[in-house]
Amino acid sequence: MIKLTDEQQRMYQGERGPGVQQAMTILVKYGNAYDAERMIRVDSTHTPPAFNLDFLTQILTGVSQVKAISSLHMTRICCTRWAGTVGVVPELAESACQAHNEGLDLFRKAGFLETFTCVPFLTENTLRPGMVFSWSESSAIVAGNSIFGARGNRDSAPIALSSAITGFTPEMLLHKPENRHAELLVELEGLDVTSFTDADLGAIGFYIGSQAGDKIVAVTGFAPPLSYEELKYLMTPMAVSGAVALCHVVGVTPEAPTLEAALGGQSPRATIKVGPSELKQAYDALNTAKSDQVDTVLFGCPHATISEIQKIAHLLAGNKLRSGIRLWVLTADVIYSLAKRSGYVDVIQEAGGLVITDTCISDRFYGLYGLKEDLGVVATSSGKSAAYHTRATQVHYGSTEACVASALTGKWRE
Amino acid sequence: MMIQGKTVNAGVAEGEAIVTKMPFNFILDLDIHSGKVKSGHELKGQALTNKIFVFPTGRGSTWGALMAYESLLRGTFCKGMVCTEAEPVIGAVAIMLDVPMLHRLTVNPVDVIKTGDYIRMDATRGLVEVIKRV
Repeated sequence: MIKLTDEQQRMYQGERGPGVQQAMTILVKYGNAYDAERMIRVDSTHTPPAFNLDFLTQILTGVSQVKAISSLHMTRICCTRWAGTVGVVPELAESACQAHNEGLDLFRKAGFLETFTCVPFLTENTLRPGMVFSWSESSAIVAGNSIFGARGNRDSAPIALSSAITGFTPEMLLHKPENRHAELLVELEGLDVTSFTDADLGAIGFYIGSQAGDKIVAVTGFAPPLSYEELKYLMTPMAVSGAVALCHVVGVTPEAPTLEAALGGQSPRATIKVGPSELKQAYDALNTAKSDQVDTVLFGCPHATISEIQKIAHLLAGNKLRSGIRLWVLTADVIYSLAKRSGYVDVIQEAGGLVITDTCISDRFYGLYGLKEDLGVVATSSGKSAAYHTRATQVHYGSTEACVASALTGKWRE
Repeated sequence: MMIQGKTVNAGVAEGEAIVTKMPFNFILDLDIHSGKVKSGHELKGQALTNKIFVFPTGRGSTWGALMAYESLLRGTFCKGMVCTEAEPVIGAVAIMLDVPMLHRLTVNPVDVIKTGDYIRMDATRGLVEVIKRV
């Protein structure tokens, strides 16, 4: 059983109020389920705002200030300032926005930052190696552990919220250095790593995730350096087809200067090869369109960086989207501000596209909730977005260049 | 058959087992209104409602607990869960919803329990009783 300090015990017994008690009770159960021996300080949390209002009201009762920097995840498109531009169903938007605003009021009083993004580390909620984070967002968790070398588990929404409220989180799994060594070794074979597109990286990640489950992954064969964007395309789909929370890219990511370091001197539990046939298998799973028709081109899953927005703007500059085609680029509001000031937002808008903030293009049940028009056939360079949309519509999956080209012609060309 | 496991969330439940060997995600794979599994998962079309859900672990999004909570409020959720190894996202579902859950059993539950078996689970004491369907 987990041991609590005097202060944690007071929280658990209710001396710090009922909300704190509820949060600490959740964390104690969570810790006990995974053999935690103690609570540790949490440095950063990230929580979706989509909680049931009664639950949220109860757990935030008496909470005047969260105990660590805490940001909020994306909200529904019908609750953003883009609702009018994209077109939403008024009745759906009305009740959704009422719930959103009531929840937001509670979050605001407790000191949460209204980032509404899936990339908190690109706003003010940054991570450094060794920091402890409790985040709910699978792509941000694998990035936080792998790219930034911070320490966090796949903490879902109630855990991240409870960690924010108490300032503590049970020490377990990936918090411990001895649990961060790779279990699955992935060797790239027969692929030209210098010519990968963003979609190639996502397809590789999607295949790896399907094989990895929740194992810690080490990938060899990449030529450093890799940009944040390249690592994001590679890792995000691993947490869609699998439940990967940590992926060492040997020679690239901070805890994997060498293969030995990534493996912690142990032999991997399993080794797989990824070559042209595995890449094709992933492309086939994500490319479900039956014709070359394209209706909606989606970028920014996870939310686009300024470099990605710049690239899309350059590809669109001086061109016009084919009539009737949507092109949406999703990002965080702080990145939007920079993109607007730098002229990229205007370039994308002049071509007929939209840069949208605070929401999600991939989650149809939540992020895209309330949209008036069906998105039709989707084209995207995001492996995660492609995987989500294949559940509901036909999808073209390919590079950012191919996606932009399809928005200009209305036809998908490999 | 009696199997011992580790408590994720305490409590007692019993019901018919619904078993899959495919990892599950409560946002992608569950229709909260009907309690049925959505397409894209091998249990497609089958309801979890009032059953004991036996599955290996989770996958994908970390939002599952919020959707599962809505399913619980609508009365479409399962009564209890038994996992091979409940990755943290799945464990948090049981804890937030206060639904009995066990994992890390002495044998792999997805191998020995079959859909239609009757399950009595005491997650407080870490016990799963499997009554085979005849």
